[in-house]
Amino acid sequence: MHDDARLIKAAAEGDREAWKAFIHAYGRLMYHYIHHTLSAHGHQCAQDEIQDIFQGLFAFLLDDSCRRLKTFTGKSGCKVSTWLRTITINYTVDHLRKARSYVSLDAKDDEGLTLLERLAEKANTCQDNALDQETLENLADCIEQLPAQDKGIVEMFFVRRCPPAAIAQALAISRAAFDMRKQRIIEKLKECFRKKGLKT
Amino acid sequence: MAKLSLEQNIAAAYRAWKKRVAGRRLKSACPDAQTLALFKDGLLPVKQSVYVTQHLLTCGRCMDNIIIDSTAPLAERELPQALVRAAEETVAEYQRPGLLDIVCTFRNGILEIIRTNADMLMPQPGLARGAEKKSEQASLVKFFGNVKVIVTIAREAEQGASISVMVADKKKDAPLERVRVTLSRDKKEIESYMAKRGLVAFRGLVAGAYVIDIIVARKKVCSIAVRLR
Repeated sequence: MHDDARLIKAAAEGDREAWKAFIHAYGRLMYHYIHHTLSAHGHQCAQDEIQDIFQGLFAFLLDDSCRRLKTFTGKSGCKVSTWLRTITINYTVDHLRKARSYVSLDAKDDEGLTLLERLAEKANTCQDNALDQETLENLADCIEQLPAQDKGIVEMFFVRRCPPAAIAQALAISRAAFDMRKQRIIEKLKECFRKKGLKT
Repeated sequence: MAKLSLEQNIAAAYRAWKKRVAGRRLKSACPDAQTLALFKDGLLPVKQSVYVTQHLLTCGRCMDNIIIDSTAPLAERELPQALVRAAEETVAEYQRPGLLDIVCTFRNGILEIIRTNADMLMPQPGLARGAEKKSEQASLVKFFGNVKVIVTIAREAEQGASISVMVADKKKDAPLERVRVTLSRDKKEIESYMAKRGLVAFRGLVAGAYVIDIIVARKKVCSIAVRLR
């Protein structure tokens, strides 16, 4: 078993020294991702709220005899750091959802757009008569035909406007492979839109 | 009217498609954190990777996770010492053995529970925690993580009381193995037994303050403080 996985196992069994080592090895990573998740959601947090989230995350891992910590098995070479980043992001997002009692103009929705961006986009689309409902439905057929991973690229690049490097990393492909794929998607959709009667 | 660019058309078409499928299909179950982590590192088998990719199209939370992770700045912030201490305190708190506190008395042969932090009183489910229980015996239940402890206090025929302790696995609802239960008074150990099928009984107890320690596989799980008035 890998050293990191051994450390997690020992901590899950209640070993105090293992927990000290865990805090030392991964505390900074967890803190960094709490901060990043909050800023990605346009949320300004006071230091004591960040402390609450940080402590809450430890309680989350410790709860019920470290039940969640025990779910890490290191199968297929899973890295502890990647697993912890995943847990930290989910925990922080869930914290924000529970804490939110108002809709901030900077808060991002499920598609990663802020209310301001949505309103601006609505204004843009309202100005244009070329895309009526029927046309949109026709164009949606073109999206339907794309394979799942291409749809994912469309959502991340065209809708959520994520940087290309980030998308390549998210999909575990090279930047060059992403660029080629994106170009292929554009050509495919352009051709499909043309067949549906949309001038591009 | 300004014509939309190709990129805007693509985004609009995608949204229209998403609205179309939103009503049609149910969101698939979120992959566990380990599966999502493997997906991020490109270590997932093809079939599972396809499942995760399809799931991302229906789940904003998981898609968020992928995107936030891939856009994090490389340089990590310094962890403030205050947070290190806070984490260590949280760990210490969770590792402290739990305590079940019971204060009771016998009046005219009837047992009264005056105060307790038990999770349940048995066998009367309608009875709220902390409410007075008047009977010749009472059973109190408390959960310590995955361990369920049932303490039964009963009046004995002659003067005195008995305290029985049952220790079980909460999930399996079966007695735990390798359980030692010790009885102390005034910080001195009076009796100690290995539980038989999770059960130990102490008899002939007079009024006083007792502490019962429960040790499972050589690790102290909890203590029970009983004050018999």
